[in-house]
Amino acid sequence: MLSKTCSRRRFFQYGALSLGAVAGSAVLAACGATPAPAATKPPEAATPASAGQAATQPPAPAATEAVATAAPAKAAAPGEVRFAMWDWYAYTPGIKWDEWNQKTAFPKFNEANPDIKVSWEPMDDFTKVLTQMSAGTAADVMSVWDPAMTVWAEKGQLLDLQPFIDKDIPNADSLYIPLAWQQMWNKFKNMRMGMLADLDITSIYYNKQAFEEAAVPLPTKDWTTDDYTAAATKLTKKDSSGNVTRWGAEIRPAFWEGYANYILAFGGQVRDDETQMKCLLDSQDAMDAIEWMRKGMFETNCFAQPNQMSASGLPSTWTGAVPAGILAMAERSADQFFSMADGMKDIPWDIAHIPQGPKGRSCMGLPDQWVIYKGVIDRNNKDAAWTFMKFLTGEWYQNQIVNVAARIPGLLSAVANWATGLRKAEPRLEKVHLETLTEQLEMGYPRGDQMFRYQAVAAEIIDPAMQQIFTEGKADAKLMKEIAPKVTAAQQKAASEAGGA
Amino acid sequence: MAPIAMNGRAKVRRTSRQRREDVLTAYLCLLPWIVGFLAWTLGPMLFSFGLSFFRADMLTGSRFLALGNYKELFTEDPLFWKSLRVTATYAFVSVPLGAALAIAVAMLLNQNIIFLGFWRTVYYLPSVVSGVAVSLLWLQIFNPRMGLLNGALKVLGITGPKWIYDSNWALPSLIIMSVWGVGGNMLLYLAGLQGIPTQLYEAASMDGANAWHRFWNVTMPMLSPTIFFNVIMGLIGSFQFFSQPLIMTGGGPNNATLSMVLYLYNKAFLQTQFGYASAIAWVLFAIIICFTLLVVRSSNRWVYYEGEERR
Repeated sequence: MLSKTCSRRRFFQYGALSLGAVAGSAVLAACGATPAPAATKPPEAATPASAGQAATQPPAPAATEAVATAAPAKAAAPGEVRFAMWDWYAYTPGIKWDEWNQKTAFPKFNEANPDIKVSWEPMDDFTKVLTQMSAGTAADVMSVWDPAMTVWAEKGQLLDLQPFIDKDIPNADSLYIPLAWQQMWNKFKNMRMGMLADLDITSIYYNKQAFEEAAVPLPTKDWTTDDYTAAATKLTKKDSSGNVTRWGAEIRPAFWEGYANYILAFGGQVRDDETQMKCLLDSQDAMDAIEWMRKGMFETNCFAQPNQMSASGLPSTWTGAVPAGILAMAERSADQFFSMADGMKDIPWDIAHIPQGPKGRSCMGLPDQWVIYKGVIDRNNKDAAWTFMKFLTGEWYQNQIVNVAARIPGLLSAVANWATGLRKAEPRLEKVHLETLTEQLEMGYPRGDQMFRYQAVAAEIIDPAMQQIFTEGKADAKLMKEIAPKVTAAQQKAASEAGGA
Repeated sequence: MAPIAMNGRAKVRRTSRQRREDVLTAYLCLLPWIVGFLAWTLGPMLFSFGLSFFRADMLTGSRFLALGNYKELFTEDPLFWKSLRVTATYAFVSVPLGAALAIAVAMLLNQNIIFLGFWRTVYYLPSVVSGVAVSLLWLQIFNPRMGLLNGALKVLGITGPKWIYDSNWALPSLIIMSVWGVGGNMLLYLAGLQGIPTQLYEAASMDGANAWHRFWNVTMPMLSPTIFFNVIMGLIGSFQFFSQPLIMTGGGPNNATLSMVLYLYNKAFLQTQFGYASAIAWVLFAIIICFTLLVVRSSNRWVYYEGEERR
């Protein structure tokens, strides 16, 4: 018999149940937070698309134009612009981009536009932006990159900038880097999703001294993937126990763009261009490319595997591996020049072209973008936001992207001065052939993304498969025969659901 | 008698008024929490429950599916079952392992050894480090090429595995890592151990009980309320494990560490399927409640409270 009305046993039992309920509700609350009341109403016009239609067509207009059902945007005074920017330039030593913007760029903007007040907001990640959009409180102008920009556009969250461009910058098509400018256009929604901030392209950054010591000829403009493998093999160093102490190269195929561009160079594609829903990773060309990368990583191991590189104790594996002598060559983005100059003080280094594949040449050519949130219509400050957007994509700011952040700007006139401006900003880059990057642009082989129409859905299937091949080394390219049909089916299902939502 | 009766009635009125004031004061004090709970926990919970019956992306409107999300979860989604297996394995291995280790450490630190305060601090310290920092630290420890763990195994002549880069080892790696936080539970067990009256041990010794008998027949029953509490807390926490796979593995390789919360996060914030993610959250909620109830109901058999009389 229990001796008291509420014994310790009862107390602990009720306490445990309450804890369970509270803990569970924390998960549930997190999932259901920031509700937009109107968004839960079933749209009257929504009807499920037929399976046949869904297989080939984008979502029905009724679904994609249902933005009106989202929460109304919070009102803001005309002439006030909230600018949320991801710090793309955080890797640039000595540069605090937020400070630079607020102390230098915004006052410059205000000289010409005294009636528009710009406020800076940090941009943590796109999770926060999604919840802000749901609540109607997203910033007016935001930095973004794909696939998020396309998702936001498809969900009707972005202002179509084409009418503004037609009115104010009618020659825009010839002002910006064409490869990048084309990626601002959404053919399914028929809209200009954003404006170009800068362009990121990949090249090979290499240790010249390592080449000389191993008597390997330096990369040439027309070198091939075979030359690349041969050089990487010769540059791979082992200690007396047979352990690798330096890998010839690293090609990062665990990263989407890391393998997509080699698939293009081998004549394949990740998906079809027209619907962007048919997975083509099971084509022979695509599988040849995957096999070439896999063999380099797991058979000859001249290309470092992810487990051999990640968390290797370096301050930044992004650039640190070449200065630390762990890699002789590294395929990297065009945002590391100041870091490389710092890390390679006493070691000569240079930049080479991405090698030519058996059936073509391709490297990553992805822009960073600025977009305007559609909420500016209700906030009545769309003109102020557009004025600020013109400033960001205009000559002064674009030149600062070169001089302050060492990035390739989107504006063609600023690109012309890119190498010169960069050397002026960082004299240690004098001997580095920065022109390789502009040559890459001239040769036209940087390519846009190979994203699917429903990229996150595709990634859910493809990423684990690529991890089996490139992270674990437990499968080969034949796995794609099993994966590709699943991806295509999942895309069709997603299209069907988007049409019916 | 009349004045006395009047005094009595006045006293009753005063007491009654006093009681009403006390109740009002109590509710006023509770009000901030009640408002917070309704607005930030119960409200979103109910919203999420409603959402779980819709196909909803929170941006473009939604469509009522009735039980469609739940049906898809259980019948068409292999990743859901995979995430359930991963989560259950993690919970049912890490909780007993953590409890056993915490009890062992607590018993060691309950001895009269030198620098006792120092050792207690050392064992407790890891549990105050933030989850993200711990994850980053363990990334280094698990590094196959130059990590601490494989370095130690190499000294013993063992070639270590690739840990988080191998789908067979990734989940065991996270379970091993969970042991890092035993210091928090250790402290509770230590408090429990110190609450056990020494005369119980003395009596047991006089009856001829050896160390094992004293541990099994005195320590464990007396510690069982603390074990009960820690198991409940551990089970709830482990079913919600999220930050470790998010930071360290992204749920990979090959979904080997895809926990349920990570999966629902991916569905909600990467694929904007908030209705589907809500359904996953409610299934997880039901699982947590079921296992909590199971442990609570079973506690009658294995949890002993000092001074408690049983029929």
